[in-house]
Amino acid sequence: MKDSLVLLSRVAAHPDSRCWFLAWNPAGTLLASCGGDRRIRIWGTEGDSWVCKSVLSEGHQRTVRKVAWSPCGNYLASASFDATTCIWKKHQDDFECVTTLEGHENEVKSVAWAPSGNLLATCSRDKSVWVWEVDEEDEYECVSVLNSHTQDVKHVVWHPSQELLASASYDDTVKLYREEDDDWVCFATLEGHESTVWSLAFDPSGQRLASCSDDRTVRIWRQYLPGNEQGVS
Amino acid sequence: MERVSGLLSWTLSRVLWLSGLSEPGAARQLRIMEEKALEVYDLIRTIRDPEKPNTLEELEVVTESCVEVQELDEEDYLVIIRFTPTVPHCSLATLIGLCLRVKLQRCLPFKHKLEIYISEGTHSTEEDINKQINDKERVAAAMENPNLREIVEQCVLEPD
Repeated sequence: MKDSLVLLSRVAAHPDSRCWFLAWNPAGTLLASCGGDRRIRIWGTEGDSWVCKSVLSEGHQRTVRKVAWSPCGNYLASASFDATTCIWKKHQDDFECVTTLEGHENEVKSVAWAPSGNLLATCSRDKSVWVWEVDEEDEYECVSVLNSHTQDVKHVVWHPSQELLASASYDDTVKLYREEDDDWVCFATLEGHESTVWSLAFDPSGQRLASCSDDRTVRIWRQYLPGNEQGVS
Repeated sequence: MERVSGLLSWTLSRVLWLSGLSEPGAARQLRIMEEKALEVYDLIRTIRDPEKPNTLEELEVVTESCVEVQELDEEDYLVIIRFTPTVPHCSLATLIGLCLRVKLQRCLPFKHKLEIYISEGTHSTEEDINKQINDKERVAAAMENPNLREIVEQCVLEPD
């Protein structure tokens, strides 16, 4: 019997507008969705059905493009076309916007938490990738502005175990960043896609990176360390 | 027995076709695509040019033959429009692309995916423009810009 997916539930999530992104919390009990109605909704189960537990409005003035849960599951970051990123703190069933990260010149396209929970990355149509540090008092500080891409940056994702960041862009490339001598630098550019790279994902071991693009391909990338047998630089 | 019923159904379909009551598969498919293309054209021809007081049809920015429709799936179609901008001005071409997309998104009754291209050879930066107007995220963000939105709304407004 072939494995197949069974539809459990269908919900009208964002009235009259697009639902742009979904994210499961680390515990797998809540689903956050965001959309063109400028709101974020938190979904949970009540018995057999999915219900909306919370609506986070008043955070953004334009489309919310992506949401990301912190590794501990107590915070939610939201990236918006209004050029800001909001950080929401969970208090039982409610969420409170604790801070708004500003700085990007135009639409923020993606936000991602590093596995340590101390770093956050955002990217924007302004072609830059920003790295933010979080301290124990929930204070956020921008520690780096990376201007390596030549076009709109669509997505950022952290390596599962190393402090390594990857970004995907309208300039058809994927770039990798890490901290070297207290500075964040772009140490590699993956070329090959023939059009906008929309999204990225590391496998759980972090050894492979998958990218998908407007060129209708999915590419899997593998890292070759210095001194490797195959002679790949 | 099977051969007889096979022959019977073939004869029946021929009779129906000859009498105009049904068509062989391919011809029927072509006709449906042409009808859908006309539906699309009917919606885009009245869009006003952002600069001039004329419609896209009057300025020959779009023509009946510039619309192509293909079937993707049951009840889901791919619509391809190739338009010819009047001047090689970047921002105007992107604006027209935006108007085409918004009009169809709002008014086309059937489920569709839309690809819009500048007809080849009519613009110096056509690849750049094509990439922008087919980037669904960029289009959505552009429509949240109040100034741009206002211009688009004026262009797609249905004539009284």
